[in-house]
Amino acid sequence: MKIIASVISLILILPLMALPSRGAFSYNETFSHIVNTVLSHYVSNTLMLLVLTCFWASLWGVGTAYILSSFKIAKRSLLKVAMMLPFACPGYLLGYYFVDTFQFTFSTRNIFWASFVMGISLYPYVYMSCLAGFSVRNIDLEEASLTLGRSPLYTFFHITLKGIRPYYAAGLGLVCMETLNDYGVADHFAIDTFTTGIYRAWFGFYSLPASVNLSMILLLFTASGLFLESWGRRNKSFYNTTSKMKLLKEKEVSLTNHSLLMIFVLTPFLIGFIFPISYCIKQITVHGGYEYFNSEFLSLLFNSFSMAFIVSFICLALALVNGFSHSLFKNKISRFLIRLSALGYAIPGSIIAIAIIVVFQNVDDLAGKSLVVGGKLLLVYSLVCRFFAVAYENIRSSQEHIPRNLMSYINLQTGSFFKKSKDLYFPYAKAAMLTSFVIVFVDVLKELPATMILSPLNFQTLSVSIYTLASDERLVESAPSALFILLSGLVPLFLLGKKLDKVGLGEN
Amino acid sequence: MSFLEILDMSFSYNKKNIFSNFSLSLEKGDHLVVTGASGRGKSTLLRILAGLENPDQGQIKLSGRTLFDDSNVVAPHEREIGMVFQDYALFPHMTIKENVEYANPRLIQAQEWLRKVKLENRLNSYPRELSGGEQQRVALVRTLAAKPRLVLLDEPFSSLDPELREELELLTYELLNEFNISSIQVTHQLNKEFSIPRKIVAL
Repeated sequence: MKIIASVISLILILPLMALPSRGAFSYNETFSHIVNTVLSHYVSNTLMLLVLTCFWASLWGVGTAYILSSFKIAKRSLLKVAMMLPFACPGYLLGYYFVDTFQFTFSTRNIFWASFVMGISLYPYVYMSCLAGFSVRNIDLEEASLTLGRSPLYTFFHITLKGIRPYYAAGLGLVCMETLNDYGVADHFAIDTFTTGIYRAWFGFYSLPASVNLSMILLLFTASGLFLESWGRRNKSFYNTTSKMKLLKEKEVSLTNHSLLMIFVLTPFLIGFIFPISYCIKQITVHGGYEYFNSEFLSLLFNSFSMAFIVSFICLALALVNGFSHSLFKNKISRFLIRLSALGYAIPGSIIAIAIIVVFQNVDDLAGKSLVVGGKLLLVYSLVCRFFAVAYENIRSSQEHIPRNLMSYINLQTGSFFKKSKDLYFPYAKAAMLTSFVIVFVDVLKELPATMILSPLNFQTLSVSIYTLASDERLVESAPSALFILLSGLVPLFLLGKKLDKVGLGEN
Repeated sequence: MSFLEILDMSFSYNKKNIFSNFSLSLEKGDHLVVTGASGRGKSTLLRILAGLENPDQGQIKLSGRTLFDDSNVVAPHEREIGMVFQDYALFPHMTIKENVEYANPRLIQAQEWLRKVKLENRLNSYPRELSGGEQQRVALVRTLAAKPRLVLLDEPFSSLDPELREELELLTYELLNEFNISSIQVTHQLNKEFSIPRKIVAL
């Protein structure tokens, strides 16, 4: 089975390995033109968007997590779950509604507001991981800081925040990946970033080498970010030196402070969830969007649904094989390949899409003729590469709960892998399998950049249709698809909410 | 007027009276040991003095300055009262040197301070790399580096073996005397043979 797992891993990392084969960092006329004209904009805009989005995501994510874990706030348990709801709304959808609502009030199409929208839609990543960190922190450390003469604010930044750095970094890392991956918001707010550049190089110039070069630079960006964070944490320990940890007791707040904290907590929830969903419902009910619940919508629904189902199923099957192989066999090469294949979520969808095109062009070259490969197959392949990690990590974490002696027992059993899995593994992995499937399913429904690049001409999905219609300012027509995406986004949140409850974070 | 004065202090927790009209005084340079059974409010007394809990009523004064009364509550970081916690509460993401400097950023010679407790060679170690006794010494030096007027010791020797406990207890009081700092120690393992004079209160 370890051979099968290694082959699966190789297939998943093949696109990234093939990427440099198409003239990465080599001279190319289109790329040279891009370098001379817009590359500096791509770099500065991407960096600026990244920094500002991280700022907003940190402000809302850390702020709300700290408030809800540290203060006695009314309806705290409910708010803890509500704060995750903006996750259901993809950034591009919030962006379309935001611009449409405020474009005549103030100048909306700039990096500041683009980052604001991105920050609001991505802050739940930071919120969820920080909430876990804040909830299990050792309050003695903060009290020690206060008795050493440090103010509460100083203590917050130097002890509380630094103490949850691994949690914060994990959440912020995902925000960075999603920002680099974004196409819809940047495009709608007219900001030239690497992702929009890759898309333009491919569809505007039809230049694969130029797209590959831009993808490689973006990949370097991503890799540097991952490296910098792990380097920053080198040798440092964030774990407590004591087992007698005193957990926090929520502080009482005055009525004025309670109101101010409530306003802070409710702001991202209102903008990130209530605003888009009520906007969408208004488009459907008041502006006649209900007329577009027609056969075209059903066809979009079928396309998206079938694509999401196939990708989720493949991701889950591969994750099960690789996950079990990882826990059963200690082979270093196999484990290394498996870990490498799970990096896909860190790689922007646009890069994966371009890399897939490179793979199939190389196959064509090797065959000496153009092989007819269905666009849908390429799309499935790229989405599996991108979202495999989501399913894999869920399956792996469920395996952590399998008692060690049971693992040894399973190893000693004879019988096929399928039989052993069915009898012994699946009872442990059942919940994780469902979660993996649903999260990948919804991620595929919302995905835009890779789907945009690889969708065949006659094949539209909900997300691509929303993008196309919103670009033409036909928001009413796109409302049924938007509503469907918004509502489907609530399902994994429900599952996550249950998980949070299980570890005691959802409830007081 | 005494150095530390607690007058008619009352404190209840979960509707249970922990202190009722409790009064206590301490002179400058004196050391007080508070002992008693579990749940009698020993640690709570320290937390109230540090400002980490507020009493329901009463008055607390340190060097003539009111820290708590009906109209005045001084925040913990402004009380000039240091505390050594039972679990030492060393900051895990900082080295030993950084832990000591955190208490006093203008401290030029963190190494000198750590020499006093024989840890000058562990400047760049992290708390997790130290033994329990070493962590306790760092916690003490860190508290003293902040130059407090009063040091509160919340059972800091309870998890150490008896020999090490006696050695570190002695070292602690020698340092407190060197800097002429008063202290209140909470313990349930009172060492009656201790060579340094201390007042004892049983709750």
